[in-house]
Amino acid sequence: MKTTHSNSRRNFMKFLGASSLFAVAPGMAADTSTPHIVVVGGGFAGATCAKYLKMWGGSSVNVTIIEANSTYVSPILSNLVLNGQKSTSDLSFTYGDLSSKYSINMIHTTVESVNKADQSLSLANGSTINYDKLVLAAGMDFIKVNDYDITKVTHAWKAGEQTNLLKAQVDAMVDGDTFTMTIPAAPYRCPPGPYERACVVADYLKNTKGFTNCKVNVLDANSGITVEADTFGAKFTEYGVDYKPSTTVTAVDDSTNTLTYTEDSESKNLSSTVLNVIPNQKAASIVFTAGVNSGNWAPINPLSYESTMASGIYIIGDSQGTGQPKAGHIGNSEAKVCADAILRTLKGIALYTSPKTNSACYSPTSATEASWLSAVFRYDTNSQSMVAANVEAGPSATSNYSKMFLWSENLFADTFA
Amino acid sequence: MKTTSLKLSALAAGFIFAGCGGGGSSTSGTDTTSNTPSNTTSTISGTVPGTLIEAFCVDGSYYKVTSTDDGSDAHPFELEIPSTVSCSLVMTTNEDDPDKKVITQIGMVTSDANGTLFTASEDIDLGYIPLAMDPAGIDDDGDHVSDDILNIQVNGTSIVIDLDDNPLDDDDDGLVNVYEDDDDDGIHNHDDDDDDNEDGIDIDDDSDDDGIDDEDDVDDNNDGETDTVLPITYVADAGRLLGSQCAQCHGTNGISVNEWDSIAGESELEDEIFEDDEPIMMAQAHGYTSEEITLIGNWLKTLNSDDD
Repeated sequence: MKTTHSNSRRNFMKFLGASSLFAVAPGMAADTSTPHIVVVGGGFAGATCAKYLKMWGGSSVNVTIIEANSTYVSPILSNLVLNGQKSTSDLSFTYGDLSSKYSINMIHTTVESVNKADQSLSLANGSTINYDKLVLAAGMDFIKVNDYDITKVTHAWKAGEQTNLLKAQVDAMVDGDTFTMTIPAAPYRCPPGPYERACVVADYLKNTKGFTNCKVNVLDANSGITVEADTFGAKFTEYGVDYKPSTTVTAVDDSTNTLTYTEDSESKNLSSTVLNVIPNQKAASIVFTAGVNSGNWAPINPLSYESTMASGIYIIGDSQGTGQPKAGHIGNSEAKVCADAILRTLKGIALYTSPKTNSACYSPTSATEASWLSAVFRYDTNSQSMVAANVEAGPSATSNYSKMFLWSENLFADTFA
Repeated sequence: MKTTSLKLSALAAGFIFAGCGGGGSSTSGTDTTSNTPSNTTSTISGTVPGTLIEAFCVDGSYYKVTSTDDGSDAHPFELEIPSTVSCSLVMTTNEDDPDKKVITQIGMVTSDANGTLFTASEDIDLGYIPLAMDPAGIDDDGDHVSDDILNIQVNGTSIVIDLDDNPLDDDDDGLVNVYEDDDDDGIHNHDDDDDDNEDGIDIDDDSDDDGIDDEDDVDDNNDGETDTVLPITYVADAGRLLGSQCAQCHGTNGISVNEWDSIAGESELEDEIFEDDEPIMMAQAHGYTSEEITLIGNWLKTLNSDDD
């Protein structure tokens, strides 16, 4: 046998790091003693959950994120791409810190099937990965009223290419053109987001472009503005936005940019230079694949985010079916409760019985102003659900605009760095 | 090179098969102890200058044997370890001499990988292992733990390197936690009665005296039954869980990445959040009970503030 004394421990660590590059293969991550937690989805909820599992659980857990994309584009602040205040690259995040600082395995592929009996996932890259605990954090999916080309009629509700497509359409508008957007029936991702978008685009056309004859239509499936009604209502009046509540989209024609919708039981058509349809929403397809949905969403225990339909599977973020809003900040919040609950469960100790989650967000209403919405949720033992402990809103003001970026920078860093 | 073990008969006379009659004095020749009897074991053998050989395994089990002084310079040893559990080997020369003692973490080099955590699926003879007998020159920090890992090249397939995070090695430097010197006082954790320099003495940290702190030991009552085969380090903390919800705006562990307040080390949380000039802070604060704010505040006080 040959022996060597050459490697200092520091060098040895590097060597070990290099060899683990090819060793971190799906299926290898779990060994007989270290629990393997697989997180599907690397957005605000999934990335935070993985980070906190490793930050709190250390080397006693192995954590893998399965995420299709190597770059995540934040939907938060993405309405500011439409008016040129931000670019999608400003809002892009990679997973380097999660891998290097927290030793999280990253696999960029999608999940084909969930085998609950084997506790394994079949991946689109052909491999199989075993899990001890599975966290589904894959956001949401759309329920389109009919088949149409989303590169023509965008949603821009998952940020990235869609955001830039819509920006290009808005930038191509000339004075006298019409911008029409539709707001889905609640619950949908980011409650203030659609109203924020209408304000940002209306302000951009009117005050940045100087167009006095453009029209902005907002068709809302809800019976009124769902959040910050005073703030957004006042801005709609200021910008001259034509707001139609209780309207249901029934058809989208991408060849003529025409909407068919129902208002007061009457079917109407509306054509528009730019048509931005944000469809109704449901849990991400992986939730249905795993069979942990009840209707459109996934029922969970709010003390842990574990599915009430399958043990060892946790659902956080947009797909979970509590009454909490669906948005990045609270997805991050839920992820921490979930990470703690998983570690407690693996350790064999009781769940924390009084978890708190919170939501806070700044919404731009122009290129210089923003409003805010704050909510804290508590666990109600009688209803065994999360209920609001305190909800407050702050009016649109220029002083909030720069604070919006301080908020988002810390949120982004808490999630991805 | 062949990797099958030497047969017992090939070893020096007087060697007693490992695993029998353990638990007696550990000062002479052939005593072997283990916490967790395992149905399937592999025997690690070899020769050394005169040594305590220890195996730390990720299921919390611990095995040790001292080499047999046969009058030669190469004392034989055999140590049984589980054949299906990842373990890490540490060898100590001059173990009874506080001045000359040298503790060496063993690394395994196979054709596939190298590392200090491995599974021995079959018996293996490591041959002669040239351990240092004097800490001079290889122990910069004076804790009698060699600064170098001694790598042993192993041919064949008996040894498989485990590249997963080693739960016995939190800082991933290859050396098991037991022989780190966490508080940098020059006494490695194993011999340090106060390895966190906090509580004066850690007498209860290793209740079964197997060299693995209870926090890291999944069989801390030494009953041979693995308590749980699951995370071996998780201390739940309600203040930390509640306080982690501040991080979205104030940064992970209370360290903000921008001019918004860092709250790590905050000592007057209640005053801060209710007298804050940011209405959004007060809106959040009103969602928490005073008991919760106290829990969060107590946790924040434990955090180091990197900036203000």
